[in-house]
Amino acid sequence: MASETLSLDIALQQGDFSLQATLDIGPGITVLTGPSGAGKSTLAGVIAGATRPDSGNISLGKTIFFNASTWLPPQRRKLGYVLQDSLLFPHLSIRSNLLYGHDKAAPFSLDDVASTLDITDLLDRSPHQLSGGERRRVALGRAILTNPSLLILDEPLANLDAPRRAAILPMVEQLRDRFDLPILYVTHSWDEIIRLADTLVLMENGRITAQGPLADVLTGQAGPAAMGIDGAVIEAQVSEHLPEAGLTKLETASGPLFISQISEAPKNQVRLFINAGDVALALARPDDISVQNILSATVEAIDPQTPPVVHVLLRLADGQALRARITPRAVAVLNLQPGLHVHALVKSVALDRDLVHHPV
Amino acid sequence: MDFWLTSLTPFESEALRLSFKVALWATLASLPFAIGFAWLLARHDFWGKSILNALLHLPLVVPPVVVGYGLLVLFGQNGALGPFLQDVFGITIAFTWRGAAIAAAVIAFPLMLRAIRLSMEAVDPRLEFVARSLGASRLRVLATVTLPLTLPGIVAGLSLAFARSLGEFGATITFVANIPGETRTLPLALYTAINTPGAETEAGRIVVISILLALMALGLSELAARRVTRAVHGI
Amino acid sequence: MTHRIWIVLALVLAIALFAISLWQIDPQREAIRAQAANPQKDAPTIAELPDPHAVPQNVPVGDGPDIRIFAASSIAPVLEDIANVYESNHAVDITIITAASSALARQIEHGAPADLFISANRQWGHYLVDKGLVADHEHKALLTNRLALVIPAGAEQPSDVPDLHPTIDELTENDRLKNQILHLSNRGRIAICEPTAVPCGIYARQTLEALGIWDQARILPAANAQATLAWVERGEAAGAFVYASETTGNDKVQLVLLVPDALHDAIIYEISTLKDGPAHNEALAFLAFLDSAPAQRLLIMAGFLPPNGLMEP
Repeated sequence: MASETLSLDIALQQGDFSLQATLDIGPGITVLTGPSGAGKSTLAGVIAGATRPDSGNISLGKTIFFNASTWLPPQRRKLGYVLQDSLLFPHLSIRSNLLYGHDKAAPFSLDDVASTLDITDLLDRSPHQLSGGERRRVALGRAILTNPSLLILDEPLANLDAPRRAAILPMVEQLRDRFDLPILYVTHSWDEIIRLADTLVLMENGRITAQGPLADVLTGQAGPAAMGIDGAVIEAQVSEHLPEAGLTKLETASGPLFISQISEAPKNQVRLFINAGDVALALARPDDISVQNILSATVEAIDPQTPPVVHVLLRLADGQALRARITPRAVAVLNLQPGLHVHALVKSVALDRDLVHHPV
Repeated sequence: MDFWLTSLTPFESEALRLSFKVALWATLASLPFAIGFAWLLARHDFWGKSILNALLHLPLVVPPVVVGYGLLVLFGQNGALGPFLQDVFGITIAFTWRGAAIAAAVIAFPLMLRAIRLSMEAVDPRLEFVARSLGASRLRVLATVTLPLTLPGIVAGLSLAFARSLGEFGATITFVANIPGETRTLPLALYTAINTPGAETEAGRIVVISILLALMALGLSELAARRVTRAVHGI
Repeated sequence: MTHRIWIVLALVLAIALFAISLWQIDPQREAIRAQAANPQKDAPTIAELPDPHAVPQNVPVGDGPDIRIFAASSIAPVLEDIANVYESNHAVDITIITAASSALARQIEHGAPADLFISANRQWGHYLVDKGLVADHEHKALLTNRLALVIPAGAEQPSDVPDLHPTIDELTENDRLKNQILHLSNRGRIAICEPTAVPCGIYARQTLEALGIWDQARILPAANAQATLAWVERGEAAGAFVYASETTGNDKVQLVLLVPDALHDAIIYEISTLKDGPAHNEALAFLAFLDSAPAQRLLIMAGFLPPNGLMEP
C-alpha cells in the first residue's frame, strides 16, 4: 500500500486540560513522546476517533476524518490502534482475534504476520493462556491484519521485562519494513526512541514543543531538557564485518567507526546513537590510545550548564551534528571556541548495538 | 409409600405442563426487551434515564397483585387495550395462558434486566472501541463483542426470570384468574388445594413437585452459568 | 459526623412510627367509652329498625367480648348490617371473617378461633360436625337462596334459541337455559365459584351437568361468591352464576333468569355454633337475634329466603 500522510490541526478542551496540535505524520516511525500528562495518548485517541476535537481538521491522504462538517467514525478510518492493555477478545481464540478485522485484500496473510511476530504456535489458544508479551504481539498482529493506512501503538512495550522488549522491538521495525506501514509510536522510554524513531515529536502540557527527524530534534534546543537524553544520532554506512574481533566497521565522512558486531549487511545505511557523555575531545589526533573511534569535527557552539557541565555542539564533515559533555575546566584548558577543529573520541563499547537504527 | 410412587394426577400434570409453558414463554418474551433496555441503560446517557430506570423496576417493588390489576385494566375483556387487540389482531389475552405468561413476564422482567445490565456494564468499553478500530460497525460490535461477553449475565437473568415465573401467583390470579388448563399453574393449583378441606395430600404432593422443579431449574442454571463463564473468560 | 446524626434520627423516627402503628386507636370504641361515661339519651328498643350503617352514638355500651363469625361471602354484607344493629344494643364486638364456605371450614378445622360458622351449603357444616368441632344439635338451616344467571348491566340478553335449527316450537325451559348459556360462552367466559368445593360453584356445576353442557361451557372459576360477582360486574366475564341475593339492588348486573331449583341441590345456608368458641354464650344470644323480626327483615330485603321458602308474617 502506498503510504499516505496524516495531517492534523486540532484543538480540544477536556476540563482543565487543553490540547492543541498541528502535525504531519509521514512514512516511517514517528515517535510521540513527552512527560506524563502531556497529552500523547489523548492525541493518539483523537486520531483513532475515540475523542472528538472541538475544532480543526484531520485527514489521511484524501480521506477526511474530521472537520467542521464531517466526523468519520472509527470503523471507517482504516487505522490500527494498539493500546498498552492488549485488549484481546477473551471469548475468541487467538486465531479469531487476529482475523477479527481481517482485510482479505491485504498483501500479506495471517501466516506472514504470525511468523513475523512469532505467534504461529499460539493460534489455537485462548487469550487467558498467554503471557503479557505474547498478548502484545497478538494485539499487534490483529491490528496489522486489518491492512491499515497508519498503525498507532500506544506504549506497546510498557511493563514488559527486558528480554521481552528486546524481542518485540525488532518486530516493530519489521512491521515498518515488511508491511510498509507508517507507525505512530507513543512512548516515554528513550531507548525505544533512539532505536525506532525516524521522526520525533515532543509534547508538553498539550502542546507540541518540537518535531522533525530525530537527529535534528536531539540536537535542537528542546531535546536534552525535555527527555534527559544527551547525545546525537549519526548516519553511517556499513563497511565490513570483523567477526574475529566481534566488531563491525562503519564509514562516515569524518572517519571510521567501530561498533560491536551488528547484523546489517555491508553497503547498508545505519544510524547510531552517541551519548554526549561518552564523547571526549582532543585538539590533536592521539596515537597511543585505546579509543578506536576518532572523528574529526568542528566546534559549533559551547553551552555552559550548571557547573561542572558544559554542552558542546560539534559538526562533522558531512554536516551531521554531534554532542559532547565536558567540564568548564576542559573548555578552558583546550581553549575551545566555535570554529575550532577538534577530534571527537568515542569508545567502541560505549556504542550500544541495541540502539542501532535501521533507516526506512 | 403410595404417596411417592403414584404417578401424577391429571390435576398435577396439567398444572406442571402449564407452569413450564407459561414460564418458558414469559422468559423468552422478556429476553429481547431486557437486552435492549440493558444496552440502552448501560451504554447511553440521555435525559430521563433515571425515570426510565425507575419505571422499568416498578414491577419489582410494587405488590404483584397491583401489577395483575393493572394488566387487567389494560388487557382485560373490558380493558383499555383488550378489545382492540381482540378485534384488530384476533389476539385474546384475558383468561388465557398468554395472559399468565404476560403477567409472569412483567413481574420477572426487572430481575432479568438487572442481571443483564450489570453484566453488560462489566464489559470493558475499551474492548468495544478496539473492535470499532478494527473496522466493526456498532451493530457488529454489539453482536460479536458486547453480547458474547454479557452472556453469563444473560444466563443468570434467564434463570432468575424462569424461577420467578414458575412461582408467580399474585399477578396471575388477579389478571387471568385460576382456570384449569389455561392459567392454573402450580402455585395456583396449590392455592386451590389448600382452600379445599380434605385436600391435604394433594397439596402436599404439589409442594413436593414444586420443590423438585425448583431444584432442577436451579441445578440446570448453575451448570449453564459455569459452562458459559468458562467459554467466555476461560476460567 | 453529621451523616451519623441523620441516620440515628431517621432510625428513631422509624421506630417511633412502628410503635405507633402497633398501638391502635379504635375511634368507635373511644366514642362509646366517652358516651358511657356521660349517658345522654335512653337506648332505642329492639323493636325499632335503626339505620344499620350509622355509627352508634348515645348508647350505653362498653367493651365486650368479641364474637367471631365465619360467614360465607354471599351473606357477609347483610350480616355486617345485622351485626351493627346488634352491637348498638349489646356489649359485644362482632367480627365477621368472610371467604368461601370451604375455605372457612378449612381454616376452622386448622384451629382458627370461631364462634359461629355460616356456610352456603350443609356439606361444610356437616364437615365440622364430623371433625368434632360442632355439636350435633348445634347446627341448623338458616336460609335459602336461588341461583341466578346474570350478565353485565349494559350487555345484550343472550338468545334462547340455538344457532342451528332456530325454531322455537319444541324448546323446553331447560333447552332455553342451555342455549342462553352456550351463547354467553361464545361471547366470553361464565364466572362461577370454584366448582369442586365452593357451594355456589357446586350448584352451578350441577346445573351445567344437568343440562349436559359442563364440558362445553367456558367457565371462569373464582374464589367465592363475591369474587364471582366482581368478574361479571367488571365486564370481564360475559356472564356469571351467582346467588339471587347478590343481584338485589345491584345496578351493575342484569338478571337473565333464575335457575330452576330442580337442576341443582337445594341451596340451604346452615349456621353452626362451634363447641370451643371463645364467646360461646354471646354467640348463642346473637344466634337468637338472627331469628328475630328485625334481622329477618334485613335478610329478606337483601334477597334471602327463609329455609322453608315461605315468607314469615
